[in-house]
Amino acid sequence: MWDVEIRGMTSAHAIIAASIFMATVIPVVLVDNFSVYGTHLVWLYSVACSVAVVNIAVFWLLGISPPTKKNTLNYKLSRLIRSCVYFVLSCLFFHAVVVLYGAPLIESALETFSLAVLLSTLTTLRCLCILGPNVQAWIRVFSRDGAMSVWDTSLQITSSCSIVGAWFGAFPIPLDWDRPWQVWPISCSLGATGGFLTGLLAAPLWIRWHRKQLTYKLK
Amino acid sequence: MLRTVVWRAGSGLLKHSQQTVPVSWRTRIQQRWASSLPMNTVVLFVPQQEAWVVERMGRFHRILEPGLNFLIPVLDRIRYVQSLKEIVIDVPEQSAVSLDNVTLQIDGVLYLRILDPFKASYGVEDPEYAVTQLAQTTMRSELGKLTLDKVFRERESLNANIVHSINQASDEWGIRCLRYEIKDIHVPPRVKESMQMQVEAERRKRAMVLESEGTREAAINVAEGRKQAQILASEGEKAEQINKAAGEANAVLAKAEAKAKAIGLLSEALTLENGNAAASLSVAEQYVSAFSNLAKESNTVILPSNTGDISSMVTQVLLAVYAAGASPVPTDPLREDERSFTRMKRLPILLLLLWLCSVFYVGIFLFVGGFLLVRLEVNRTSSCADVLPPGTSGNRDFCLKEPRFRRAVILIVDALKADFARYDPRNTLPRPFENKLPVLDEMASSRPSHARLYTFRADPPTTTMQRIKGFTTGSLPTFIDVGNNFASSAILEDNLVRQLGQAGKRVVFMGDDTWVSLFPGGFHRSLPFPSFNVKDLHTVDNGILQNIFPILEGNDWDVLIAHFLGVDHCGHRFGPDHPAMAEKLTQMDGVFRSVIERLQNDTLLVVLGDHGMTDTGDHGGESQKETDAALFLYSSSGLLLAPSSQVEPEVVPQTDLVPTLALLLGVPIPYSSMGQVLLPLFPLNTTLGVPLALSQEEALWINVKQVNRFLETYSNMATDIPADSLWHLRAHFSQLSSQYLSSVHTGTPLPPALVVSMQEYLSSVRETCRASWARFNPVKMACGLLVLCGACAVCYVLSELSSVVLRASVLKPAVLGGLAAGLAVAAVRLFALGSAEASWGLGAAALGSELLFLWRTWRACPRGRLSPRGLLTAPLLLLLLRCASLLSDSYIISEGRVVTFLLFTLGVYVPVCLNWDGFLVPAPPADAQKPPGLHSPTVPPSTVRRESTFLLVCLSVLVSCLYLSLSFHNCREEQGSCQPSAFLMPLSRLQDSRVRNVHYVLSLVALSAWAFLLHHWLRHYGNLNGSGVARFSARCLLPLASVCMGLHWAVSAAPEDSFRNLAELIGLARVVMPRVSFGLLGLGLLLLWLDPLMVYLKSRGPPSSGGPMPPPRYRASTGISPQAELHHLVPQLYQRIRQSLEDSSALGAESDGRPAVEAYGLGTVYSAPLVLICGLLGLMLLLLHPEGMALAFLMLLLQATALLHLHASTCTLSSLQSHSSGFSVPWTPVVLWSLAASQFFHATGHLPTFPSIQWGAAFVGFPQGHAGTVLPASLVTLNTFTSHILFAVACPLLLFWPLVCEVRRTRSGRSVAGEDGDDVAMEMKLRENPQQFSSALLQLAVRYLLVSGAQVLASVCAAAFLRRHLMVWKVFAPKLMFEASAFVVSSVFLLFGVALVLRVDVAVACLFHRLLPENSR
Repeated sequence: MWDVEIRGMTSAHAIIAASIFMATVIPVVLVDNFSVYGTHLVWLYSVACSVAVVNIAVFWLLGISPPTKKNTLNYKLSRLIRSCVYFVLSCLFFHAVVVLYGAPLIESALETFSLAVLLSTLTTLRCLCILGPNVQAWIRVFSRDGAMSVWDTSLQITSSCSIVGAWFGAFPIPLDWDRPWQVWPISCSLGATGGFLTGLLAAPLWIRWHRKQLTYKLK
Repeated sequence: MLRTVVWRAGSGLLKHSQQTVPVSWRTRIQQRWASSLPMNTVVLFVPQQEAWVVERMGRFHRILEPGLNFLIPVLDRIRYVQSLKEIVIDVPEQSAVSLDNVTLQIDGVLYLRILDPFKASYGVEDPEYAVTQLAQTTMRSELGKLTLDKVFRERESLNANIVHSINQASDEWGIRCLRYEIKDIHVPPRVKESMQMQVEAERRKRAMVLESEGTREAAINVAEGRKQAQILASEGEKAEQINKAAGEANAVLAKAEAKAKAIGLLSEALTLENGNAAASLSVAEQYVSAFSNLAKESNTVILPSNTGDISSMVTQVLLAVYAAGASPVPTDPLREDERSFTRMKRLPILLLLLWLCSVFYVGIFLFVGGFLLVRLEVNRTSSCADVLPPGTSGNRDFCLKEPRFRRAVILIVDALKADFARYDPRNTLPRPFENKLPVLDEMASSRPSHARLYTFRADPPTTTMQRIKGFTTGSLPTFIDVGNNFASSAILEDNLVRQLGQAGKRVVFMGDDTWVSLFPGGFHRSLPFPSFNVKDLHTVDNGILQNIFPILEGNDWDVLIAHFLGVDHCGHRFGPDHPAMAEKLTQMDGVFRSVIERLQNDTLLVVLGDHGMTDTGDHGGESQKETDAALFLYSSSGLLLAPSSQVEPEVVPQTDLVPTLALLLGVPIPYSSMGQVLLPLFPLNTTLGVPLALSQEEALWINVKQVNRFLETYSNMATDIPADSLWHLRAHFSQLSSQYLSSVHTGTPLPPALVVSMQEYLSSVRETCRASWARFNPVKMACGLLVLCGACAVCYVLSELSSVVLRASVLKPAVLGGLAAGLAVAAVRLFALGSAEASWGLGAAALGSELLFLWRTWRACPRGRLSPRGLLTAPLLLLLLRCASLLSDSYIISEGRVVTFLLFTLGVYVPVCLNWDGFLVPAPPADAQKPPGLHSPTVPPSTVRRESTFLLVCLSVLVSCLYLSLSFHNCREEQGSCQPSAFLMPLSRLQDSRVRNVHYVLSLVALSAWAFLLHHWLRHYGNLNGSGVARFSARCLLPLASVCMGLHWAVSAAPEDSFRNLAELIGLARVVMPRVSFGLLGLGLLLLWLDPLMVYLKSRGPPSSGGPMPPPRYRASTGISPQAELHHLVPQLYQRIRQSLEDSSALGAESDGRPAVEAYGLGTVYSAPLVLICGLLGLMLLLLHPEGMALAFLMLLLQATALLHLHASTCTLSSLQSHSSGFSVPWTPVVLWSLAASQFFHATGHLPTFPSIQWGAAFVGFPQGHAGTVLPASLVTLNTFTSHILFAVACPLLLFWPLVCEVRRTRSGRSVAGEDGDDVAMEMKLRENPQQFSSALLQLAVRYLLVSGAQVLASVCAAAFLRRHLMVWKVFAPKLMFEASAFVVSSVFLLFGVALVLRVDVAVACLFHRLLPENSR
């Protein structure tokens, strides 16, 4: 039972990681003058889109999301609309947090917002996929005994890794090295992506390592 | 189903259903649900708890769930709207006949709910009507089965029966009846009367029975009591007699034993030699004294029959004595006071902290001693007779030839920046400081052989005294001299002024009075003017202008030195970009013109600036704007070579002026000058225009020899110049001298390469010295580093084991051992080296005591209490990051933002961590299904929710303060595109009067908000009641001082020109206002220290009659120990405060003689004086800042409050759900607190650089300058470390705040807690647990010290490891100095805060001593 779940999660994570890789590689062919630093926003949105698409596809296929009580079209539609609204709200929230952390308020608002979109994709979107548009469940998942399945634990790990990665990404900005990746928000978005990849890698390993201690409450 | 009634409005088909509804209840429902059926609008929002029944083409299709729904237009139609909520229906009154034929009127209420909307819609036409009818009929039939009495008795079963039978029928309709309740039963009046009578008779019977029973019981009780009393009395008598008998028996035995012993002793004594005689003597003495006593006491004396018979007398007396001695002496049993409860350990805490601080100080002292530059001064002087080696045939070198100039005029314009002197004719829109000195450029371009303008580069530090020292001695004043700017002491090294005096030149000085103290007695005549008042632009300059021209025209001078200060002061006051600067520079231009006109041919004019200024008009650092000044040389008798004839130096180092002037005027070059002659001022050897003067080569050769001599002397005195570079320099010199001598010998002209080589030699000497005077002492540095590391380790151990350390006396042996080690090291060094340096002894003492302390603590500590895993918590990791950031110059440059970033992170971490532990949201409802008992006390979710909302509000306040505080930052010069905050500008500098007014009003608002918030807080907690010293300072001094400050700002902001006739008054106000505020605030601090109790005790009698005091309510009988009394008293006292504060209206109602003592403000007895002191201190420090900083101060107050509340809420939330006792303050708030101190250091406009020190603070209240140096230095220190001071003093508040905030928590749960006062003891809890209080206080202080100390350690490490870094003198060394000073200041003020808390504790102890005895009896 454990092995099956962990194996499934590992392969899902591998697919997501591969999609990030592809999102970096494919635009090189398609877009002129593409580079991660030079046309950073293109890279950022391509990664965000691919992660979003793959996440939604994988979780839809695997049927991870909580069983819906009503299987009607309306119910699904309303869930979809709520999810979209939550996603937009989370982008705005991340934007505000990043500005409070010291990002310029007006000058590079587009860059800041793009970073917020990336962060939302890496965290909120997965929350939406796994838990549905249910803020209480999100709050519950990020507490010590809140995880109710392997997927919840993986969500904990990947989300916190992405945010911590973005946080660490801010560190090189004040240094006077004059490197191209010190430009706002390249280091932060690289940090977030790196953190996310680390989380994807770490989650199965961690769960495997701690599978004796992990006991999930029944839903 | 109610909807079914309603929608007939829109549908005629169903109108009939309405008719069937009974009128009595239909109307009410209509009123409630008077809305029509919803239209089909495709997208529909169904409210919660409603079900809409939809038909598609007339056929039932589906039921819409709450939320978003979609319908097909036209086809779909909403037919019914069913509410799924519970419905209450009033069943109207109806008559029924009971079994015994009584007619009753009964009405009832029916509760029902729709379970299945489908059945409810389609199963029955009108569900309510059906159900009501059913209920009525059922009730009637049920009643018929019962008699009247039973009806009343069995209401319950009646109801249940009705519900049951309704449910049987209504299941088909999708309705569930939940309850049926009979409301009222009306009985015919006759029947009612008889029932009443029946009841009455019954009661009467019971009363009589009870009464008789009572009488019987009473009689029995009385008899029983009497019997018991008699038995007890007889038993007591029996026991008494037994005891008496036993006592007597014991007494007889004891008597006999004692007698036996005494006789034995006596007999032993008597057997000794002369024992007999001695015994007789003593007996005789006693006999006589007994007799005299007898005579005194009564007039009847019984004389023995035979006075001569000694032996009988002896036996008589002995017997008498024994009889007296053996009788039981009624001694009071020493009742040991059982006050052995643990007490607050005040002294150990203070001593421990003092020791810890001094260890830190020793570490800092050692490191700084090894790190900061030290240069030895060479106390030798040059003279005319000197022969410089290698001496050539005994020639006197310095006075070799005639001087070129007999006289010189040296005009020093303080802060004459290089930019000021330039003239650009193309600049059509010059700024106030541009193109204002055209004379210099005019002369230099029109008469190139007479005048020259150079850039004159000063060496850092660019403070005036160091520069005067630099361009008179020609040496390089070192970094450590910066601090001496206030203490101008005489220059002991050889200098130009002394040389001029020795050569017999009459040196006349006028201007800046710093010179007089630097060269006491060095001038022929001096006219000093006060220099220290930065705001005074004209005194010095006008003084010079009045005197300079008469003296110039006279003949009583050879060298005239005039030091103008106006430009510098103008820069400090207004900045360079101000019309006043233009005025000043134009004035200087006029001065230069007139001086040039009056110059004679033998006179050299030197105009120089001692340093430049930054864009804000300050100086002191090493940026190019500060170091680049102007140098202008002029002589009316062709002074120079044409500029094209040789390479012109682009920049002249400041040291070069000394040898040049010395040789031009024909005096010896000062001994320790490092400068190089300015070659263009000397004629080439080939063009012998002035045959007697020194040629370039000769001058250079003399210069080289002089520098070489200095180098030799210095290298003999000190070993700090590296040997290899010294060797290189010596080789270079010997090569030079051999070449020079050989060419002189052969008479060939010197090759140009030799000149270049000599110049190279001079520059390399200069560079070598500069590098080596950055001399480090690695051993001392390592030692200091070690001591600091040890101190941090001690701090950590102490913070984890504070209670253990307080219990076991660890400190004393550690300190003694450390002292012994220190003395031993000092002694060894004294014997081995002959000299003992204090620092090594101190270092050894500190290290020794640290190691001993660690070792003893290790032994005293229980196993497992201390583990390095405790270090791996988020706040400590963040602290580690902060420390790591001090190792990088980039992070230090943007330190303000880095600290804010980290603070923000830690602030966000708090709720995230709480959520992770499951404390942030109320326990999930899932837990309710589990057996209760897992979470022992179920906390009401509303409490948790309110508390977490409050926490999030605090967090948002914190975040917004953080964000706003960024706008008060100053800028370092390294930060390129940075604009310093507009609020940093003093109001007097603002030119736009509207902006000035806005700033003034903002500052005033912030100031009054500060005072109001403090006052409000104190009043809220009842600390302002009554009259007392501390209250006086809060009520009167605080507002008064604020008003004074506001007036002072207004006065200092007033433009000088607009109130010319009030100038004297304004001047007076500038002195008086700040001094009055200082005085008031100081008085407040003093009074608070003397009487810190802000508690108002009131003994209250009955309000109407002023009769005797009612007995105290707390039961403090004599049998209870004071400890128990305290336990009882404190909550009661507090309860009184609460009640009297909260509901003053209820005060009268409950004053039924219950309360005995009211103590207002006892709950915040510790924190109130602390808060007040912080408020007073804050105002005092605000006075030292520019006015605009009042906003930053307000922000500081808000942020500190937010932090405290954040901490308190966290504590509350975690203690609500998992009971943890103890007052220990966790790391997170301490780190937050300390980081906030660093953050507000930046947010009050300070930076860890020397130019950014706000020197203006020294003149607040002292616009005329100071006589001493202590006061201005301390004012500037207070100004610089404002935020460190405030946060350090307020640090103990972290301990108190969770207790203070208890009120909020218990206010909600008050109805539950009721009179149980234990919950609201607030800070009295601390007093009840002195042991925990002391350990928590110690722990908090030590943690704060550790957080600050770790930052010092980090900057020390940075300075040590990066000492060859490019930025070491620009970034790391100043940062180290600031961090170390900040540590010293904040530790001192932390000690002050802790001492204040202990002082309050003493006062509270006194209060309780006074209170208890007089109230407990």
